[in-house]
Amino acid sequence: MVRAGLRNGYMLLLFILAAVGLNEIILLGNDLIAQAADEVLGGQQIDFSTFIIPLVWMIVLGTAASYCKSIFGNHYSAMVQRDVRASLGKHLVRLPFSYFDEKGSGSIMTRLISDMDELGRFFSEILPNLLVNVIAVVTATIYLVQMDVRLIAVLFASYPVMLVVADRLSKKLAWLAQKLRSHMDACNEKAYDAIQGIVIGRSYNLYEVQKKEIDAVIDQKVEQACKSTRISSMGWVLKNIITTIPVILCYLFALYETMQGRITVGEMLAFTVILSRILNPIGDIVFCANDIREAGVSLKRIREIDNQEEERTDGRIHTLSQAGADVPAIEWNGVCFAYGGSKEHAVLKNMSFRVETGTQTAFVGGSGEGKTTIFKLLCGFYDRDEGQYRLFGHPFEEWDLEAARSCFSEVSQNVFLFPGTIWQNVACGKEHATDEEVVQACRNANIHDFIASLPEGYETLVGERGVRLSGGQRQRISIARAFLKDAPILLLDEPTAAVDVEAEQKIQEAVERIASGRTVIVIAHRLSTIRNAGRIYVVNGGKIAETGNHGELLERRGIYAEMYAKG
Amino acid sequence: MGNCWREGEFMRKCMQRDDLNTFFRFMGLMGDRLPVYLGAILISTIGDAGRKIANSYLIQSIVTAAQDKNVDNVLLPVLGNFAVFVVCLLLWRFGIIRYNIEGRTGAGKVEKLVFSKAMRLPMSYYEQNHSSDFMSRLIFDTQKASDIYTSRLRRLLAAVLSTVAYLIPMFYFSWELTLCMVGISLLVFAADSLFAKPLKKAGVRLSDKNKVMLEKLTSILSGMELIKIFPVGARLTQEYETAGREYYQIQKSTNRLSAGLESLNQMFDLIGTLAFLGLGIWFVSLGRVSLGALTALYSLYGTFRYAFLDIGQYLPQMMNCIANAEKLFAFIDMEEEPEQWTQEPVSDDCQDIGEEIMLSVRNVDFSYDSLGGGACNGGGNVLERFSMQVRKGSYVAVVGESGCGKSTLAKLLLGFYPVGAGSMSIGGKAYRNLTLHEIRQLIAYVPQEPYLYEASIAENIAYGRYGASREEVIAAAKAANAHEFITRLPDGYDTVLGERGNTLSGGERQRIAIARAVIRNAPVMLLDEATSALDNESESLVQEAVRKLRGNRTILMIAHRPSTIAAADVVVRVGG
Repeated sequence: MVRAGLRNGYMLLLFILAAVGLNEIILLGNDLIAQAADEVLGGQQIDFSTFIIPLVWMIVLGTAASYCKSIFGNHYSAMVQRDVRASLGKHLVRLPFSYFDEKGSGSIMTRLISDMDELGRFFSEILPNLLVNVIAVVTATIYLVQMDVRLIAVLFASYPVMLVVADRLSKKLAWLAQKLRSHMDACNEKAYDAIQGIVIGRSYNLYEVQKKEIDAVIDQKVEQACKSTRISSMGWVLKNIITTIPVILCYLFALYETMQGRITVGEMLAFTVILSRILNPIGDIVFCANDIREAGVSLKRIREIDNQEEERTDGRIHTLSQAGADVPAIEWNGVCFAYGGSKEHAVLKNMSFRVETGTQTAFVGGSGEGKTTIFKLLCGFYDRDEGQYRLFGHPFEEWDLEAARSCFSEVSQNVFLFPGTIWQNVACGKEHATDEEVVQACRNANIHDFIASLPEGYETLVGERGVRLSGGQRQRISIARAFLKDAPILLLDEPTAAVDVEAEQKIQEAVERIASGRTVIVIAHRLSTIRNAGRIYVVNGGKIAETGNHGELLERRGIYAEMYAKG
Repeated sequence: MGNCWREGEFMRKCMQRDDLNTFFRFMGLMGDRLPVYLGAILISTIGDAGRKIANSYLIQSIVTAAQDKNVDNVLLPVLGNFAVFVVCLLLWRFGIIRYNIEGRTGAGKVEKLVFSKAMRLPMSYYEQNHSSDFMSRLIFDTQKASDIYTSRLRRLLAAVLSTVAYLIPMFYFSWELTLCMVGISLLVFAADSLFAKPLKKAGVRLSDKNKVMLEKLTSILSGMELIKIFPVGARLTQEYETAGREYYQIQKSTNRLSAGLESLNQMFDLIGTLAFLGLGIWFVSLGRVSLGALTALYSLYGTFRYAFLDIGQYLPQMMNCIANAEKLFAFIDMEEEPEQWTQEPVSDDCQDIGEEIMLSVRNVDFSYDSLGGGACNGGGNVLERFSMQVRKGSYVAVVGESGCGKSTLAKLLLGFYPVGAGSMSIGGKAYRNLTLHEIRQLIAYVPQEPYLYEASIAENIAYGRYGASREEVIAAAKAANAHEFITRLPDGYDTVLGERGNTLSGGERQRIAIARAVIRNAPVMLLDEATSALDNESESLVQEAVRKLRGNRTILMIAHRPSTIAAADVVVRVGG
């Protein structure tokens, strides 16, 4: 990000030059007029035609400088944002999955979006404004110093007080605004809550109760706003009085200097004009500080993402060699794992198992026993803390992550569809997929007929602006995606948990079709779905507690048998 | 000339009658506080303009003193003007506080009106409009419209009023120069409004592209798991970059436009300042104006110019807000759910039914088409000549394939929609003789996806019956097999649930929802696929909770699992 700021720095430089130029022109004009005023007051007859030409020049140059200033400043901002976006996008997809999993991609997203906004505002508004103001004050100061050092001394001597007050005030105002903001959020949240739960609200006749609650929150907000206005308006009154006193002092001092003959009346005129020009910039610089502080938080957070380490790319195995069927697809030996590496809350403790190539293996166990964690480790989303993991006979470390992941496809209960067409959502299973391949995959997944029945077929948009698909339909799209990927190992995460009987049948069919000839690993909460699995691992307390097929496990009368009896 | 014409058209467009009506209707919402509100705006404006005018007189006396080399008469005006300045500030403060209080209260009134309206629409509206979509639009419109109260109107009125206020002393200082300045300001105004339209268009294009860009970024972030497994990451980053580059291109062309506007303004500013001073000096040399008056005039001109240009900026903003207010009124004027569905009386079955039948549905037809809009896929009747009778105290399972109308039946029983034909009764009374409020009072409903409010668990359960005591809440939780896990939570019953009850598992949420239904103590309990998304263990806990309630309540359970169906006294098959 800093790099992007520096790389495009030449634009910023041009912007600064243009701003300085513009200020010089304005000061020059002032000077010219001050001289004229003195000549007039001195009783000379002045020839106005000599003024016209330089004035016209100043207007032309000033307009040009202003144009340059605006365009260079805005271009700079746009370029920096463009570069940051470009590098950020590439960076994001290379970050380890654990980063998103731990922070919750939802919160990363909202933060990132608002931070990007703030970043844009920093480069397009805050930074240029600050520079323009500083330039205005500096050029005016230099001009005034040449005129009369004492004037500038009075000005700057009386301003520290104002700066302190303005700073305090702006902090106070920001605090008040934030407080009001949180009241507003509370208010909106309350209303959202009531509407999202409208089915409950309606069927339980909660209208009166909820209206009362919402009204109370609104009243609190109004009260807070009234309180704020008393405080902030007093602040503004104070600020106005305090900023006016130095101005009056400056005027009086300028009058004194004129009386002493150190400056001419024309120069005093110029002084009052310039004073009115730089008063606002001085105030703004102070208020800028607050903005910069806020932007700084956002910039820091973006940099934090920027500095996050990317996933390893050092694996040397890039393709899956045709290993014999006798090599187990997956072999774990004493694997331990804890999220965040905390030893006390280990999820997997010394877990060992084998998944033979071409067979169906199931993991069962209560919720929170770490079944999903096994999948995450299999795909290399997280690294295990201890133990060995061999994928098709090779230690996992030797695999290139991308190649290792190309061995897996996943059908899970949470199906994510990208906003886009159905075609795109299926085709993302394989690079450069052809139309025929996509259609074939959809046929295999029992979803082609449904897609074909839509008016726009495969070009139908899904997501917020498109059709709303049922859970079963989404699931079958994800199965089609998996068909297209054609990976040797299939991970099934309870694919039929949330759908009804009819949908379950269609999905079951599709799943059976995709499972044939592959190594399949199933996570199941419902035991009825895994009765046919060749081998079942019962996970309990982060370990494999029981192993065997359905019949064997029932005979053992252990955890599995108990679970089965309950269901 | 062309500009003037444009200007006229612009004003006419802005001031269309509808907009005015909307505006007056909106202001009318303030009721009898409106005069106080407007008075406060007037006072604060006078205070603000007054102190700036006082400042200009101060400058005049100082410069005059410098010119005359006579400081004897300076002190009095300086102190006097400062006093006026302070008085004006206090006046402003008084006005602005009153204004803010009245404005905020008015905005609160609008919000109450809108939110209570949002809770009273017919159910079909919520089904057809995604709640977060229409709520965010609604909240946006409400805030924008309330901005009229809390900022827009004052800004516009203050700009107009103070423009007039500044002109009076300015004409007094020198009418010739003032006229000249007003002329230049009009030119700036015209130039600004010339740029307004293309700039607005560019703004729309920018925000559209920005939306695309955000969508791509969102795809990357929320699809991260897929990106890791499927070869889609490169394409998504590519798309994001492309969107970003397109955004950049639009930004660049917008930059040229805004640079044009800015430099034009700067040009007029320079012309104004330099010509004013040049002309002023000439006037001074002619003796038509004093140097003091000239300086005072210049200081006022700066303020005048801003106020004047503000009119051009605030008027369209105001119009935008009025457009939001119009949308708001369209929402407020929408039809609400009636107290009772008015149905055509059906000849064959008008009378109420015997006491022993808790629920009766006779020959009911229903189609979503009649509600205007397809909430469900496809047209046609969802229920056709559907009948069923449920005895008091029985446990009924309703089964059927997906999309056959099981959930629709539940919604009809709750009175969410009017039936197309046929009749229904509850507790021996015909639906058409009951208000919707009365009907719902008799039913305790547990939907498939239990919604828990962002409140404590105790409050969530207590919503079942207004005024329920803590003991009753705990008893209900025990009946619903929820007490045990609730007490295990660090805050127990006072645990505040996060967004959508995220901190609890599906089974736990479902059991809280059942506790809510239990505490309602209604004769009918209606459960819509209450266990379909749960794992075996949670399901059996929920099932057990429901089983405990058998007997004194009539239980209607929509289900598809064999285990659920097996427990029921009667199985009703819908469709097929």
